[in-house]
Amino acid sequence: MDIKWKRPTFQLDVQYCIGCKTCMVACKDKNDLDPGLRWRRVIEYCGGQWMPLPDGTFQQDVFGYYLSVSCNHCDKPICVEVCPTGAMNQDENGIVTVDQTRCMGCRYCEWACPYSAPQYNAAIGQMSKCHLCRDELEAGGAPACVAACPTRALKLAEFDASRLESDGHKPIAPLPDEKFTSPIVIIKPHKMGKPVNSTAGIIANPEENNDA
Amino acid sequence: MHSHWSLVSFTLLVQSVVGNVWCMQLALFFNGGQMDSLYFKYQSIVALGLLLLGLTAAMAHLGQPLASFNAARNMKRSWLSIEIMTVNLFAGVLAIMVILTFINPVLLNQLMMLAVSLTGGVALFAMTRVYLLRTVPAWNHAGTPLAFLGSALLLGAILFTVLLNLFARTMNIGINIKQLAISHNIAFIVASLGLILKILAVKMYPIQIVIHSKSFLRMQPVMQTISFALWAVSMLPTYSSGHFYILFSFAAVVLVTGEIIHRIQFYNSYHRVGL
Repeated sequence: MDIKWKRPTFQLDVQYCIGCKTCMVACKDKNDLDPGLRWRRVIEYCGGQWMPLPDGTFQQDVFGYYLSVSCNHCDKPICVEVCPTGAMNQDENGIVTVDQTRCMGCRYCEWACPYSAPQYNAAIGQMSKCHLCRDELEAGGAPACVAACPTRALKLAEFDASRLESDGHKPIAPLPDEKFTSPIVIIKPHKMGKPVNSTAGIIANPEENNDA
Repeated sequence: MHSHWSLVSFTLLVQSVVGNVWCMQLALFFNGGQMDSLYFKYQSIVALGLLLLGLTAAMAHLGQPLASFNAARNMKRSWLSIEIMTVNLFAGVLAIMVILTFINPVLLNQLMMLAVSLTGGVALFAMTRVYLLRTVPAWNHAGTPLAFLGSALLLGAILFTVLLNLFARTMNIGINIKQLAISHNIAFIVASLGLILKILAVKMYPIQIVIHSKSFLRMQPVMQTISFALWAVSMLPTYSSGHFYILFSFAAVVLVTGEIIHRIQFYNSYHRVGL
C-alpha cells in the first residue's frame, strides 16, 4: 500500500529533547517488544568539567544533551548489504525492514550497523528493527515515537538532500560519521553539540542502551 | 558480543581443512604424483568429516538454522552469503574426491587435487572478507587476512602431519620412507610460513591480543614459538620415532591451543564505530 511520503525521515531537534524516553516507551508499547529490545533508544551524552582559577573561582564547560536514535533507514544501509539471505531489504520509500520469512538469525547485520538498529529477538531467533511504523504511515498517521513526543522534538519529515543545510542538519557526537552508511535523518543540533568523532563527552546511560 | 564458540569452531575447522588440503596437494606434487591413493582416501575422509563438523558448528550459531537455505540469496553483495556457498562448494568437491577414492582411486590425480585446493582457497578468501567490515575497525585491516591465512597453514600442516603419521605408520598403505620424509618437510615448511604470518599479524595489529588478555594469554605467541622450535628439533635425524612423537605431540597441543586462544581473542576484540 502506498504512503504519502516519498522518502520519510525522522527529524530530531536536539535542543527540545528532554530525554523523557516517551518515544522509547511508545515504540515498545506499539510493537509489543520484549524486555531488552529497544528499537528506539535515548542516549544521554555529557561531559566537561569544573576548572579552578587562580583567584579561587571556577570556570566550567559542562554540557549534556539527549539523542533519540532509532534506525535511520540509510541511503547505503550496511545491514542490507551484508545480509546473506536478503531478509534485510529496503522498499521504494527507503524504509529498511526485516523479512522474517527469510531471516536466519545470523546477527551479521547487528555486527555491522553503527546505530545498533537491528536487534536480535531471542524469542523467535531472528532480527527485528524499526520499520518506521509503516502501517501507521499507510493509514495516514505518524510513527508511534513521533506521535508520542511531548515536546515535538521528534518529527517525521520528507527527506530532501538539497535542503539539508537549510533544514539545519548537523550530525553531532556520539553519532558516528555519516560516511559509513549515509543515514537519512535530520539532526538539528544542540547549541553545545560536539562534532562527530569528538571524545569530549561520554554516554552517561550505557546500561539503558546495551543488550539485556 | 554474544557467545562465539560456534564461530571459533567453524572458522578454525574450515581453515585447518583448507590448509590440510593444500599440504596434500603439495605432497602429491613433490612426490611426483606417486603417493599411494589409499593415503589420500584416509586423509580426505577425515578432512571431509572435520569440514562437516565445522558446518554443523556454524549452524549452531544461527537463531533459525532451518532458514539457512536462504543464504544464497544475496551473493551479489554479501560476503557472508558467498562464504556460506563457497564453504559448501568446498565440502561438495571434497566429497566428490572421497567418493572417487572409493569408486576408482586411479581417477584421483593432480587435477582433482587442484580443484579441491582452489575451492578451499576461495572459501578461505570469502571467510576473510566477512570480517573486513568498514564499521568494525578492530577487524578491518590487513592483520585479519594474515591471521586467517596463517591459521590455515599452521593448523592444516599440523592436521596433515598427525594424519600422515597415524595412517602411514599404523596402516600398511605403501608409502615409502622417502615419500614420508618429503611430506614431513612440506608440512613443516607450510607450518613455518603460517607461524610467520601469525606473528606478523600480531606484531602489526597488537590490539588483537591486548584486549581481554591476561599475562598468561600474552605469553601465547611466545609459547607457540617455543613449541614450534620443539617441532623443528623433533625432525632432526638424530631423534628416534619415539622422540619425534613425544616432541611433536607436545608442540601440536600447544600450537592448536594457541590458535584457539588467539581466535577467541579475535572475537573478543570486536569493536564497532558508532552507538
